[in-house]
Amino acid sequence: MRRTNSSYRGKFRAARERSKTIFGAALVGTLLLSSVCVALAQVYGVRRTAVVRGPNTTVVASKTTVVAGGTALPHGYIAALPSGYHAVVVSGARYYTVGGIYYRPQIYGGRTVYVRVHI
Amino acid sequence: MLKIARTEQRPVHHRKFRPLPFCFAFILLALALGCSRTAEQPATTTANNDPDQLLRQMSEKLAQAKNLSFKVERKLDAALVEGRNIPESSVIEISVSRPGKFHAKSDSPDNARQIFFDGQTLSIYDQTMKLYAAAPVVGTIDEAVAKIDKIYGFTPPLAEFILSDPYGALSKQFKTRAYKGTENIAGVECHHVSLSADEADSELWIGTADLMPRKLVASFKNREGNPQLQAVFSSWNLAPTLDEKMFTFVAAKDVEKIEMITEAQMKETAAKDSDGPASANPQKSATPVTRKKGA
Repeated sequence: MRRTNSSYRGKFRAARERSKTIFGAALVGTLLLSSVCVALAQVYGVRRTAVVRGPNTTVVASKTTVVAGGTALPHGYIAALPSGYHAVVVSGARYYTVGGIYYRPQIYGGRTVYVRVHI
Repeated sequence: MLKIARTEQRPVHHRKFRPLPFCFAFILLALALGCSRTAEQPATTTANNDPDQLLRQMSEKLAQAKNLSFKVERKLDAALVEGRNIPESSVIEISVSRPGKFHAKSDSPDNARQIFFDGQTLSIYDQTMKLYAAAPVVGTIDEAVAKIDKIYGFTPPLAEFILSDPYGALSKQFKTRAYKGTENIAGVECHHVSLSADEADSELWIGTADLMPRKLVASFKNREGNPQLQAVFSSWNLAPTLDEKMFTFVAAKDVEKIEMITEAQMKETAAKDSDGPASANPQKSATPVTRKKGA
């Protein structure tokens, strides 16, 4: 009798542990199902405006930041070549030149940009 | 005999009692799945005037398509065109093969370019200049879009609509949603939904019959002059026959490979440009020129 009782208690405990595991898995599954999505830094392919942060990383103007004009490229980069350019090959690589200035093409932001170089 | 009978009954008693925790867990699991399955109701369900429900139904229909293709006529105001100060009009054709392939072809009056993703490599082809760049990007469309966004600082055009959960991507941005009634867009009766977010306020038109996106106008309110993006969707096909080869770029002989610059590289260049000493060396061959200190 005692043996039987303790064996049932053991089985009951094991079943309870298993149910706890299943409950945990269900809970984790629920949380995962509700959180799977991609957070992008672009809105419809347009870069979000920069968040302005003050001292102690306090956001001071995240909602009122005004960006003038299109997103600027760093100095030395242009998004389109000036008219009258022509292609030249230097050491097997293609460059573009116009008015004595040389440009090397690169892809940035999904588009071709041109960086001014010295040849 | 009585004792034997009792001992025989005990296991029966325990067996009846033991499944209860399992039942409880099963009910919870079923409830959890049931909650998530509200997003999987057939898209043909009559959409009511609840903007959130309309977005969900549109999203489900897009997400359920294994293959899909569509066309977008996109207009960007000058302030939204990176590095340029002129508006851009383009026709974009997008093809998607879930879970891990897409192709986008963009034609504008001054440029034609294509983006290829085959689950292993991202390739960008400037058809006008006969240049291309390729980078290893492995994963599903969702993973690729997130990686491209993070590493290279851009996303494929209107990527929100090709993700596995467009509703999740869109709803994360928007704070408020409003239903504005029905309107006719290019001969198609549409629900008009207004969406408000910190970055941009959007007007979205969803077909009443097919629940597909038909038009999107986004006003970027944090930018000077509130520039707009306008996208008119057409030629929706949720079961196109797509050639797998179309997702992999194969360069022709006259097409030259160039470098794909990461967001980090460009930020570094910009930082050198703004406050660092000039790094350009006029004597060194093909050195990028950055602004000299104090210039």
